[in-house]
Amino acid sequence: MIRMRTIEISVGAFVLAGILCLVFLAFRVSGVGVGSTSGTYTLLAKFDDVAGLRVRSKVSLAGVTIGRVAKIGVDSELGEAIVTMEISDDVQNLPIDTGARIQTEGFLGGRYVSLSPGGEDKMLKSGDTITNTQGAIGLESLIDQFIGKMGSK
Amino acid sequence: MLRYLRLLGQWALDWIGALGRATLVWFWSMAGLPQRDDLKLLVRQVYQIGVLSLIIIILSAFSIGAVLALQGYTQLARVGAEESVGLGVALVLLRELGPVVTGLLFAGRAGSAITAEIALMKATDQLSSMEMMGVDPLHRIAAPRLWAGMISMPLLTLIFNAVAIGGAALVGVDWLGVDQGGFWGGMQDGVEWWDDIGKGMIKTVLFAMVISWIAVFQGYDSTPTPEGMSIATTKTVVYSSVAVLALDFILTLVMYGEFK
Amino acid sequence: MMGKSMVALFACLLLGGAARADAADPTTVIRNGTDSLLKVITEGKTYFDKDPDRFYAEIQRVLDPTVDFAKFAQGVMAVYYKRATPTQRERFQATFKTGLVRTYGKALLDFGDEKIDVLPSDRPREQPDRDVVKMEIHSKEGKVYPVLYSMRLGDDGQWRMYNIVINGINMGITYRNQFASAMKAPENHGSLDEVISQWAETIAHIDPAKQGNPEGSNGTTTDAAGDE
Repeated sequence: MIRMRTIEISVGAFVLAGILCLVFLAFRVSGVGVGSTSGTYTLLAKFDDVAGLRVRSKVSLAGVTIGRVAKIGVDSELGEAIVTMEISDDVQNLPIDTGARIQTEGFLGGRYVSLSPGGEDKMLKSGDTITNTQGAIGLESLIDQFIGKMGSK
Repeated sequence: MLRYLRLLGQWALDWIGALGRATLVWFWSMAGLPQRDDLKLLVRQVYQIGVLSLIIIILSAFSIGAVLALQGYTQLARVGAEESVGLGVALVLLRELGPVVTGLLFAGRAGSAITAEIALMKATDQLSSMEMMGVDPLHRIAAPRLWAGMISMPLLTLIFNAVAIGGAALVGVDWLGVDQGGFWGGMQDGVEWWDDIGKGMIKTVLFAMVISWIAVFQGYDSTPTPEGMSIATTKTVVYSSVAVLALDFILTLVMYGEFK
Repeated sequence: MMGKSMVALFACLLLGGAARADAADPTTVIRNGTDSLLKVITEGKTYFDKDPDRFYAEIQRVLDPTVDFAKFAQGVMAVYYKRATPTQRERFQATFKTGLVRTYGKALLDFGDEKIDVLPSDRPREQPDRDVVKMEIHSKEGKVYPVLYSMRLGDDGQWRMYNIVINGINMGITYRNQFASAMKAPENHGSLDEVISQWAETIAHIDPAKQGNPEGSNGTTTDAAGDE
């Protein structure tokens, strides 16, 4: 006959193990809280089509994740999607003509926003809107290919 | 001909009657304020139902996670997408396999144990003795097991998911050589807190309720003979399994509805 | 392989660029520009085979007043603009302009009777010196291609375009990425001069006579949106 005390301890350990697994799933598997070591600032961007982009999709620059999509709203009057992004404070000095493009990540991956810094002198401040944008399309690789044939390569 | 219709009708009525009794069992077990000894009973049941299921859950989880990684890798490698194996395995586990397999294993191990125990008590008149002593068997026997089931199974599912993903990581990263950053990074990017983990946990809680309910009721409703016990135990496993799978289908449709 | 229709589509890149000196608001600028260019195209069909260079010069003449090539090129050079000397900036600007004209100039000839609508502005300007003009090109098969011109008010009071989005594709960003790739390509050694020369060279290699359509273009007007 197992003693009551052993039972209590094992039940406690069982519950603890469950909670630890939950923590593991939350942080290591679903990435809650990843990359929020520094503060962030807000940038908006307007797109004609954000198909597939979701809240918490990543915002990247040169392949490095520098932020997340915080909110996706819509301007029904103008027929545009307004994406609110939280950008890491580590990334400053984005010119006002910075480009924002919605791209697809690999094979199983989802959509994300890719930023390409511009050449202007004035910089984007927190709360500014990026107007140089390109929405979600399926042709992007095809176009780049085409341009590549005709362009500088 | 008429005879068969009559049998069908009888069977249907029996079934509905059973459902009614089952509902009453549930209701009367859940009703009533907690008493002094209840926590001890609960803890004991959580031990019997949850802790003792850990071995089978952990072993199965590890194997399943490893196999998923293996198979997933092979298929994804064909299109050069091996790095997505982390994401793919995680999604499958969190959304479907975790809740469902844990449910099936739980029904088989813990569910049948509950049914057998209660059926034995019934067969040896322990339940009627309790009633005569003024102790409510539903409160002392059924309720702790119901609650223990509903507490243990979600915990078991969490452990299952974590171990399975760990197993997949072991196979994928350490053995098959998938890039660690790609494996975990792809997973973190693609796994949603609410959409995947949250909804999976809702499934598991619902499964837990259904399985515990069936297990307790079958024990309670069993014929107080050895065969009755065996029939009841079998019923628990079969009904629970079917219920889990059917419920999973419905829930998946409801939760992840946009399938066009 | 890209169909003719797409090449012709990119050619409308240049459609909005031509304009009159007395142009007022951005929409008028684009409308006038489109008219001028279509005229040049119609004439050009007659003499292109004998004298392609004249055609290119004509196109450039109508484009010059209204495409802000300096801004356009600055957007393409992007981060490298700051590192570039004024000479390099000018060189790229010239190269970029020539490149566009030569690459898409011939395809412009495929423009036939497509209906082109320059749409009136349906919203107030968000900034006093920036605006967007929308145009719709109706192909012969009934497909509608939207084109958006990003316009800015220059110091001389003229509205000019500095970016274009065709059928959802932001050409400024696309060229920017091309430029950046070229800068990172090992064969260019990260040298601005090399990349700029490369850009020009690639353009020079595109023989105007052989450019574009394999489906026989001897000046006969083939169906512009015909294939694909």
